[in-house]
Amino acid sequence: MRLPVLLVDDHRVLVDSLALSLELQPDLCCAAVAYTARDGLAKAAAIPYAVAVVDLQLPDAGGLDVVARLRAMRPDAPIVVLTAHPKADLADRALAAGAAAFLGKDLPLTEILTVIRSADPARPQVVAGLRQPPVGLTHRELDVLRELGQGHDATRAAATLGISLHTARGHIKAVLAKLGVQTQLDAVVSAERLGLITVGSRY
Amino acid sequence: MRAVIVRCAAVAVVLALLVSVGVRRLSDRDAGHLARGVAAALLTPMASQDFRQPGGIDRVGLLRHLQPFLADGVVKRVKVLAVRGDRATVVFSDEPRTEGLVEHPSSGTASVPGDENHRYERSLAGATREVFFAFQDARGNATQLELYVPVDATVTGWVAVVVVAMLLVLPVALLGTRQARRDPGPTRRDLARRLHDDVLPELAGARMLVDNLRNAGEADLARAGVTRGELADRLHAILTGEIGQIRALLSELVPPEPAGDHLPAHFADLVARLRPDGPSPAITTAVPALPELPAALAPVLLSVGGELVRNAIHHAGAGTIRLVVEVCASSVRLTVTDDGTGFDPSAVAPAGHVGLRLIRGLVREHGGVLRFGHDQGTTVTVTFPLRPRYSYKM
Ligand SMILES: Nc1ncnc2c1ncn2[C@@H]1O[C@H](COP(=O)(O)OP(=O)(O)OP(=O)(O)O)[C@@H](O)[C@H]1O
Ligand SMILES: [Mg+2]
Repeated sequence: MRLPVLLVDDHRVLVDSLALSLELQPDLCCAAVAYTARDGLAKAAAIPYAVAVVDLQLPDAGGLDVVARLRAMRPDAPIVVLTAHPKADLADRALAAGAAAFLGKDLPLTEILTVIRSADPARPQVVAGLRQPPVGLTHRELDVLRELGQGHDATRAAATLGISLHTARGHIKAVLAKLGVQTQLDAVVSAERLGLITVGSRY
Repeated sequence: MRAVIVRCAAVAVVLALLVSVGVRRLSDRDAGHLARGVAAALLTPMASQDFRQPGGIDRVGLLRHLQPFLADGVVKRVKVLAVRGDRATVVFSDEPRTEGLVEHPSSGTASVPGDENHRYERSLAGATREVFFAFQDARGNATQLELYVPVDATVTGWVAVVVVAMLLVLPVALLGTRQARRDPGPTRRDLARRLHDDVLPELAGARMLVDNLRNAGEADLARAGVTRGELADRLHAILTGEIGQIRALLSELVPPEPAGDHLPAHFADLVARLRPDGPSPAITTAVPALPELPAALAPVLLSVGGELVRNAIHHAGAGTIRLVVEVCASSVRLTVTDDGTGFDPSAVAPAGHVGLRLIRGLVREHGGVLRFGHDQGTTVTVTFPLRPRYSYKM
């Protein structure tokens, strides 16, 4: 019995290569490929699979949401997060959302396959070498910071994150204080330098 | 590049000083002035879009350009109109619900109509005026940029516009329209993002295929229904795409030819852009190609020359304006002469009129000297030393 794997990732070259790689394994196969969160959730509901591989950066939704929803839909199927942004806080949150593993996209194929075979939320696996951030920002503060890093203002950040403007402003203040800077622009610049966020990206 | 940043910073400082001059209400006329500052920053990215094509618009990129102005409230709404005859259809806006609505093409400054097609503007706080700028999109189609500016904006707001405009356009626009119309070139961050988001994952995918080529047994291939030849073909396709991407990055990266070579063309473009309709004033230029000109000086000369010619057109009531660039032994000199009214350059310009102050700062920062003369009209001479005492870096 080959282990059917669901792939949810909008990076076609990578995900198509991974799909083919699964097909070439004696013990694995590709259950389905989805390039969007929506399609991924629809296929998850319709097609049997044993393991899901999910990218964090999807065009239509945050990957963390997809992880949580897949987990709720199919608690028995472990989820492997495969991301181009292996950051410590994202790993924590992915595991908190129910992922069984958190891997960087540049990991060798054999290691990715090994993790897929052995994925188990009871024994979470996280890619080696994630630097713990030098500044202790809360997840929400990082969320707000990532919004600023995409050029959004407090109002827009509040709307996207579903929090009040007042709360968003509070987070921004806290971020400025913790990073020891005066302006939002400086906060974004120094957060990127510290490897906390990737400017222009959601993660 | 460093010089550009220093220059922008200097401009920002000059403008910050202006804020301390006082916060004043802007007149309606100033709404146009304010909008021009914003338009200067927006038209370059706008003109590289194909607005008639649903997929021809980089919405995210455009919104990123609008964002600082909207956030500061110096512009309340931005629309791009595709003009066909007397119909102007909204093809892009920060308020997507207005897209598809039809307006009348207009020009200059106007009050916001109360019609149904402006229903989304009714909720904008405060008094607002529409200001229109005509331009051609990437396909050469007639297009208008429509900015909704508050008329009760303060001088602080205006200063914010100019600061942002300077930061955004100086490095690009100063090189003249030829280069400005081309893509401004990727920033380090763009490059990093493209390498990270596109090139790296594709290479990771390619490496997977190589692993498969090496490790897959005949039984695996038969079961998966692929041959090694097909695997190799897929790999080939990925690598071909990769080569294309990297070539594209490279061609954007390689620095443009020294701007001094193209100085005559840049100045010709500049004057063509500034020249008002109608016969007067007559504007003539004498500009040689200067291959040895330090890279950072070309944009400075264009910027200073542009402001001086603009002033002569708008304020001097001149019949003729002449712009000359010459190289003497160890300096380069720009002279703009008009036969107009003349003025007292030591008088303090009214609040919000910053052209001369900006170029004074720019000239000083590049080790240059600016002199005014006035017999019959105005003569402004700007001289920059060409000695290596000043190191110019772009
Ligand atoms: N060539 C000229 N002939 C006559 N008057 C001039 C000339 N150049 C400048 N001035 C006067 O000096 C003032 C200040 O010029 P400056 O360039 O600083 O501001 P502006 O042109 O009015 O506004 P801005 O440049 O900010 O759009 C002008 O308002 C005008 O009265
Ligand atoms: Mg002026």
